Amino acid sequence: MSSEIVVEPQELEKRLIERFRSGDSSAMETLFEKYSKRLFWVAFNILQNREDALDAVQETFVKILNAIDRFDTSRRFYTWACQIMINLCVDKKRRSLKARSVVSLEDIGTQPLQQAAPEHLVTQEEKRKRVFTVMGKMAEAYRTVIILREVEGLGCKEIGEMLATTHATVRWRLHRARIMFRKIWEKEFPEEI
Amino acid sequence: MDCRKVRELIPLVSGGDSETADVEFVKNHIASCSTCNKLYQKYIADRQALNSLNSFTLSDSIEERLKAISNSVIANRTTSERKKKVTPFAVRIVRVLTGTALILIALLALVFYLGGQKPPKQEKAPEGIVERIEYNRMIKRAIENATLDEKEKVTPAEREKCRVLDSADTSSFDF
Repeated sequence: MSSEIVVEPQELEKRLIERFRSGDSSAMETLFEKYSKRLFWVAFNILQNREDALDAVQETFVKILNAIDRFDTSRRFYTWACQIMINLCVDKKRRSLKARSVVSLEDIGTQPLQQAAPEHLVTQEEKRKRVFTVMGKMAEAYRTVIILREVEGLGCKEIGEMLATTHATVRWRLHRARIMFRKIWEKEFPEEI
Repeated sequence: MDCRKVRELIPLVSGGDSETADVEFVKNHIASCSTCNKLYQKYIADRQALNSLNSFTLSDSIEERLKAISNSVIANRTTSERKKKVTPFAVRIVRVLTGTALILIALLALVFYLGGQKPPKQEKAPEGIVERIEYNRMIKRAIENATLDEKEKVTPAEREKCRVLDSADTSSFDF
């Protein structure tokens, strides 16, 4: 009977970071590969632009490498990386003079059809597009908290750390974001009321 | 009255972000209020709709670009780390050589400065006074050596001493 040593994800990340600090650059490749898609997804939802989201991910990676020596390994790596990226996205948004353009999920790829019932998949696909449309019409601060809570599944305390704000503020924003989401959905897709 | 309060609480209760007491209050209310229950279900549906984004798959091109970004950032970092390791050593060498050169230049400057300095000029006393001083010294030595034997007066210098001693005015000398 083979005995497998189960390592907690956070412990694994800690070891990867220690390896990178010792000079093994492949360790950071592993971490980046693990989180790049999630980071891109969050950036895309905040910035609503594919190229800006890719730039944000690149800048985030650069900042991570520059600050990795100061990173407290007792924290979750993804929380820290997401915090850096959200700050970058907020700065980008402020600096950007471009008017908000209409973007769609097709810009970054769609779910391929699988073995499930086609009607169900079309519904799912349509639902995703609607969600994306509604989120595009929300204010950035509310869109950010709702992405982090509902899509990323982070807790209010973690979101508060990321956004450098209190747990209470995050709850309040979440409350407002959900109400806003409902109102915009009812306005955009009244047939579903 | 309860409906108004429940409608305020539903957005957070539906997302599991409320206190236990609020959750109990809302659930008890919606069990008997169809309007509030309908609203509660809509918020639940909103959450499910948002969760559908989790199953979204990025296109291959985006994934490839992300991988390329990751590789290039790490490659650039590795290159700049190597440069950092080389540069301090080279900088140290340059600093040591520069410091040594400056010290040598300072020492050479000191040597040239000191070597070029002339000894202080000695003032010449008037000629008459010099002869008088020498004469007095000679007499004094001769008188101090007055116990010499005849046998030792072999050199011309000794004989001169005795001759001078015989003719000298010794009243002014301080022994």
